[in-house]
Amino acid sequence: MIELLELCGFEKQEIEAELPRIEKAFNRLGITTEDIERGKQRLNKYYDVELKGIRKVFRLCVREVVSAVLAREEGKKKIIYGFMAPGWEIIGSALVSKSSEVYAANLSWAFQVVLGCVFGKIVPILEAAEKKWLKAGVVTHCANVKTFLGLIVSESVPRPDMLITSGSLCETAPKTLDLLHELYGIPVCCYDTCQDRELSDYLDGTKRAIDMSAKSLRRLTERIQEVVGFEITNDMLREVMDARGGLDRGIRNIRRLIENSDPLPIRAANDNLWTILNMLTLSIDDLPDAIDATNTAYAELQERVDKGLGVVEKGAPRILAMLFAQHADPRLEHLAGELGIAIVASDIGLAVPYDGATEDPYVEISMYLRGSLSTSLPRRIPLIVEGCKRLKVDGVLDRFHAGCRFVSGDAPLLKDAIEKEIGIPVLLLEWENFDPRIYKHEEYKRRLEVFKTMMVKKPA
Amino acid sequence: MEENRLAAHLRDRPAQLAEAKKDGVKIIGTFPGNYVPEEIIYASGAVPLCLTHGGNPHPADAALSVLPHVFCPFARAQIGERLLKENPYYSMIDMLVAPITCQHLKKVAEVWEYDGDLEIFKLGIPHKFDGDFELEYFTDRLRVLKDRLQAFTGNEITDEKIAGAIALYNRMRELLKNISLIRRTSPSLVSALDFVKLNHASFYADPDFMVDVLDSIYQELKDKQQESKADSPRLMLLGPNISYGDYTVLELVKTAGGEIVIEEICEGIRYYWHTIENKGDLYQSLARGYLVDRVPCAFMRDSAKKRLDFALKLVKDFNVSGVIWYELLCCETYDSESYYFAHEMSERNIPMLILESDYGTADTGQLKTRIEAFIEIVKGVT
Amino acid sequence: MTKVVILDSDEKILASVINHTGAEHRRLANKVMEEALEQAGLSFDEISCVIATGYGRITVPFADRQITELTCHARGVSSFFPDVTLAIDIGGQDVKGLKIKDGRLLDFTISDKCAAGTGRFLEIIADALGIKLEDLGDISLKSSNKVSISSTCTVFARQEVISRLSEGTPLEDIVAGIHDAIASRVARMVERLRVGPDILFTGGVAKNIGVVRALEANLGCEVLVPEEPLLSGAIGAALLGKEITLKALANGESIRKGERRLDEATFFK
Repeated sequence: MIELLELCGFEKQEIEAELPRIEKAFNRLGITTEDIERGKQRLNKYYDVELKGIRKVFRLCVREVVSAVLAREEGKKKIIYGFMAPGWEIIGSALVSKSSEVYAANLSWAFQVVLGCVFGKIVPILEAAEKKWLKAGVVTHCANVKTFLGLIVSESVPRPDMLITSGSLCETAPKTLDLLHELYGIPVCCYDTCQDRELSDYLDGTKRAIDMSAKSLRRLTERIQEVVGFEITNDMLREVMDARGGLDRGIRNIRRLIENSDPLPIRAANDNLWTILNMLTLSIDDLPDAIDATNTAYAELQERVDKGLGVVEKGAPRILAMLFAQHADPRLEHLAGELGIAIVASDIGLAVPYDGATEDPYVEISMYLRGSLSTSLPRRIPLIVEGCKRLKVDGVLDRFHAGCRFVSGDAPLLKDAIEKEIGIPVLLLEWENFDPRIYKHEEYKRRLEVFKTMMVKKPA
Repeated sequence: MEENRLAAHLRDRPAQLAEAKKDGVKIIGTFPGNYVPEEIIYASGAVPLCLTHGGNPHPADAALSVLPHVFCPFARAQIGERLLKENPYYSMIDMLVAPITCQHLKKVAEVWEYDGDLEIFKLGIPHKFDGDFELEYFTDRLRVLKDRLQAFTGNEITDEKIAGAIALYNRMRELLKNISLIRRTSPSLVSALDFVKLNHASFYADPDFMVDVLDSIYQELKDKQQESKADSPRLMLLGPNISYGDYTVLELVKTAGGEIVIEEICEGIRYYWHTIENKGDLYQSLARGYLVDRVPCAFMRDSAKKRLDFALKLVKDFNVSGVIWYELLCCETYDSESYYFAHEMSERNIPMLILESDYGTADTGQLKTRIEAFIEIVKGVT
Repeated sequence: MTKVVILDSDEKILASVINHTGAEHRRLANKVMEEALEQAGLSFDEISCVIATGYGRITVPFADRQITELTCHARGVSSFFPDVTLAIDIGGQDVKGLKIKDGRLLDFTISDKCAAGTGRFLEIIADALGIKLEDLGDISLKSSNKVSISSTCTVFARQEVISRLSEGTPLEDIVAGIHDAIASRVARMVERLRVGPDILFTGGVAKNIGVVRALEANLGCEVLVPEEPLLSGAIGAALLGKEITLKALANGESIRKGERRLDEATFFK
């Protein structure tokens, strides 16, 4: 256990102090000594844990999981989980910064890292959800929602006082919350916007969507205030957003460095960690740890770049991989790297340009609607085509998350558009971003190998 | 008889519409769910067409080159019908007023928008139907729709025209409701299949003509009403939509000896169980009637209990002894709700059968076994 | 499989026949009927009521009534186990869960869209591993470290099993893993039908002791397996036939709709 925690960036002193509660939480989650062994192997195999910055991110994820499991017994009087709720990382952060009696988590992400990526043990959680209303089978419910539901119904996390989600990115999540309310009596609240932006007036439509989202978020905050018993002021939100500025910059710098470096300085599976780090509802006191992780990693990566060190050979084909890295299983990203393919970016960094300078924190939070994942198909396709051109990628891996009707619907037309406009190959891989059971080694290996041969490096 | 008159009208309808197009009349398509106020389209002088074809696996499969299989067969069928160019309705529409409801139909609208060869207006349906500012948003969008249609058709849409349209569609709703109520006392007079086809006809037929036909049918039926001796088990059908052509389940239930006396489906009862208030600010009226004062669809926020309560009321009012839940494969909201409904029905000892379909013809044998076993449960064997 | 059961009015089994159906035999329900009659020492006219059930129930032209196998199984398993509230039937082609109360079917779930988890699945796996289907159970009981099979699809599970074998994974661990995969899938499928611990496991696959144990592990309770799991449907059908007969006699009605002859199904000619 101590070795594992060291691999996860814990220092000796902290291990001594925290070990009892970490062990308690792990026991609650059913983590055995076998799992710990496996965890160490997986960390060494898939992640660049020789980098201190990477270890620091794992530390924050482990801490998050432990705090979540023990929240009620450690004295948290109000527990609120958010799920698929863009902006919750800011509101939740404001809540925990204000009061130590409140526990606000952005649920499922850290658990996917720890239970899924590290221990390879997310499947029982998924199965718990499948026993309820997110059944397995052709209906292909998103495993992210399964993870969320599974954690609650398996009582891996304490019963919350409130659940929050957004319909802006997901239809299944609000329905799951509706049923949790009806069947379990848990208070829920959603915020939404209308997805009616038209290509012909995309910017006006975006403004309309952002305004509606902001209104909806303000109403959400009023509900939260009733639960926690204190006001959530604009200043509180601004303070969090300012503190997070360093985190945004840090992650952006790392990703930019990776995009611009040849050879690829860090293995693709690690990219997931930045996505998750960005979503943790860390308090203002804890945010510096996250920022430090990014700065440390950046410096270490810069060193590798300066020395020309890479995890894939120089001149390896560069690809854009759609959506995030797998949240609960690093094998696909690992396989791509083993086969000599450099995943340099994903489309989550792409956004529609929009000049919406504002003082209103709710409007600013709602700017997530500019992002690729929130963009409707006719606008998203040119956005990604532009992104491919800018990044000068040799191919695109569209591992389209089948459980998400939002993004998977774009895959076939996106492939046609990229192949036609840029002439680079696109590999469509039907995928599940949160479910390790989908991974078929032989099949994916074969297809990635063929994909690699199709990518012709253009002369410099 | 009225059925023949209606059948003839529908047979001639594509040709009739083609002629109207030559005279400059616009044909404007929508999708079912009844979130698009057809009144506004009618008032613009254009012809509203609610595109509802389905049931046939061929167009649904044809769409797989454009949309992955995780999209429901109805959504894919819409793509396929337009792609294959064999269905005159789908090729002749000049504009689509797309209700932005569930993810599947939203994607269909986006795909057609991307294709670029059809005028599209996206009508955003706020998913929190009972919110304070949501009603305002929807009302506003209805006014924008009006402006768009005025520009598109070149005809002014006055409040008088809207009032006239509301009166007409209210009449249609009343008649459909009245005929439904006849099925409560005398289900053998109008079978489920006949009624569903009648409702579907109202999406494609000329609205004035349709009201006339419905009126005649209603007059004819109301005198024949009598309390029927319930021999066949009385059933209710619950689901997203039975599309025009997706009649297998209805037929199988009938053959197995069950009588569906009421349907709670997307393009059905939620539309005609209430009327639109025809006074005051008509756009507010329409917004309230179409968004708020009706049973919500499953994709709406906080809708599960409201939908359940409505279904339970129908079970009671229509003296239903079993519920058939018919969902299309890959519909994530309905699939989730099926668990909730099954749980609640089971608590109240109301037998419920859950059926799934992706329009495949291979389904039939399996559907038949399930339906027959269900009827055996409801009716008893001995 | 075609099965015939003849019961007397005390519900004693006078004859039982289990035959492979095959493509030819489907129209020869009468031949199997004749075999049963011979076993019982009865003539066809001495049978008061014939109930046909199962997929091929429409190919039994001499049946007085057709009842789905779901209802028949529910009745049949209740005769072995009166308190049963859930029956799990894993047959050759499908998996069924039956919620039962006092012998009556209340609710059900069927998985019949693919082979995964059925008897056919086990046949394919046994073949891939080069062992006999009937040996799977005993082999799996030797395992103390079952593997985790991730594929839910028969084709991919077969591939996975073969590659595990070539990697040197012990045979018993693979088989135990396959059994566990089936059991966990089935347990999830029937979860919503469960009311208590009185669970019965029937169908051809119930003869596999490995699957029985795996199912118990996944359900968290013991399951009862009837002595002859293949006959539950036929026995249930006969019992329902008895009820129908008695009710008809009490009401002075005829059971038969028309003339009944022990003929082949004619619509295949």
